[in-house]
Amino acid sequence: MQMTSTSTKPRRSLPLWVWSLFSLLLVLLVWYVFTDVFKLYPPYQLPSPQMVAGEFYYGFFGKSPDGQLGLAVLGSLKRVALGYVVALVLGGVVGIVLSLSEALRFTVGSWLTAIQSVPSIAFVPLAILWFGLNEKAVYFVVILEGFIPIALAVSSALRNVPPNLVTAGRTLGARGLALYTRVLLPASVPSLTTALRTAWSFSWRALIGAELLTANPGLGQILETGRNVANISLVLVAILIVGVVGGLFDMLIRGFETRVRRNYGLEVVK
Amino acid sequence: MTASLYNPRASAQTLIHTEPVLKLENVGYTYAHGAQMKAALEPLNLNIRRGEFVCVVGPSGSGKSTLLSLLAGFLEPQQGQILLEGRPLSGPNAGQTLVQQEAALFPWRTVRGNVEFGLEQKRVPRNERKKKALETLELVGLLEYAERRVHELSGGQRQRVSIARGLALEPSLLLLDEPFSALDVSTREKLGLELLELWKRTGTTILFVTHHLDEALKLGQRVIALREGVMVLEGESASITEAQLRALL
Repeated sequence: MQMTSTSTKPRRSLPLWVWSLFSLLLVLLVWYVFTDVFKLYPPYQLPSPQMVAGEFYYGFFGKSPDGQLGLAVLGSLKRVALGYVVALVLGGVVGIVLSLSEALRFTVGSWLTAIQSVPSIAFVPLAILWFGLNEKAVYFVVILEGFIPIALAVSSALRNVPPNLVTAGRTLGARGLALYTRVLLPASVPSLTTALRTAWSFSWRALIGAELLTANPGLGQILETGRNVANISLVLVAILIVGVVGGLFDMLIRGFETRVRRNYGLEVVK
Repeated sequence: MTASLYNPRASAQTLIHTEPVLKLENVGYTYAHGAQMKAALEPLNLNIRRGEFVCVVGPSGSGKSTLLSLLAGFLEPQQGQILLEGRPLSGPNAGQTLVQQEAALFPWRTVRGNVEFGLEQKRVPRNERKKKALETLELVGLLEYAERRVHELSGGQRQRVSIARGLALEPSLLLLDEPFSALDVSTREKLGLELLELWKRTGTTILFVTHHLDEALKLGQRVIALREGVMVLEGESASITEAQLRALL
């Protein structure tokens, strides 16, 4: 009997980063074709990739005051870092308090959920009226957006810790604060890493929205400047930086999340 | 001592010559079941001597879990009192450590970190803690796994770590709640023998809860049978047969 060959060598698929690079090049190619080959849109509506690259270079390496992109990125990162850290601490404390009381979860927890559904940009006018057109207003919006997902996640994660872990902790002598710090909080970490990403994403988006209305160097302010001077290349550069920075930090936190999940045995190392 | 149908006075008399580690004096517990009250554990008198290996056996709903929760300090007796080392029991305590059905190891800690947990709560110095943890892991045959993550272990190994975690505290009483029930038959038997060996080497007082009659008779020096919250039999395992237990339960 003639055997048909069914045994095939395992096909080596390309690494994911190659696919990412390929997709990026494809987008650039399509963009180039639209703007430079077919010239479908005028440059003031859709600038070419070269124009945006030029604006990018000029923004980072041009002479001051035009070398403003670097300062803007640093300004935004400083604000989001501080706001994010405050949001984590505040969210952690509020989350722990919420986990202790059903009445608080029903009242304060519900309010927080409602506030979370309001787009962050809606709080910017309120922040300006309360704090003025300054950094405080920006921090207010960033912290507000970051702390709510953390508070809700901490509260939920603490209540969902497997009871057998709590029993083990108690029978081994952990009680009161030690039970929280040695059992409940460490057991909640995998759930909290997801909340860290959500909080980062909310804080970052809120920051850009709030910076649109402030005068201090920041990516949001660059977007506003680009709109004011009708420099669409600058607007696109700012959008790209916001996306890339946001994506990089998301990737960083995702890496941390994966590591935590592997350490906890929740994810298998491939 | 011979097996006898439960008679509180008789059992108290038989053990009176030895000072008990654990003493239950008329301990009872009743659950509210809707508007009705259901006695989960009828008033019970029991003494457990130091170094004894006692098995509690009974079907589901017999009061085993209630008894264990009372002894672990998670429930307070509604009547009577429990004395551990002559003192009334007050809440969960490293003096009476519970090993649960599932190993319930802390996944954020290594194997050694898990064994050290209770010692940390007792504020044992770091070096001493590490030494004790490694000694205990050696005792359960897992020394080479000390720095591994707990998810890298098999079910049987996890349960051994869980037992080591309890043993490291040198408790007055080690409570085991059907610790091998989630394991396959051969692993269960193997771990049972290992537990016996551990008991012989450490002299720890053990109260082992199971619903497997053969396991209770094989492991325990003394067997206590519960049915519907009542102790229906208590005696040396050597003088009890499985058929006798089966007839009662």
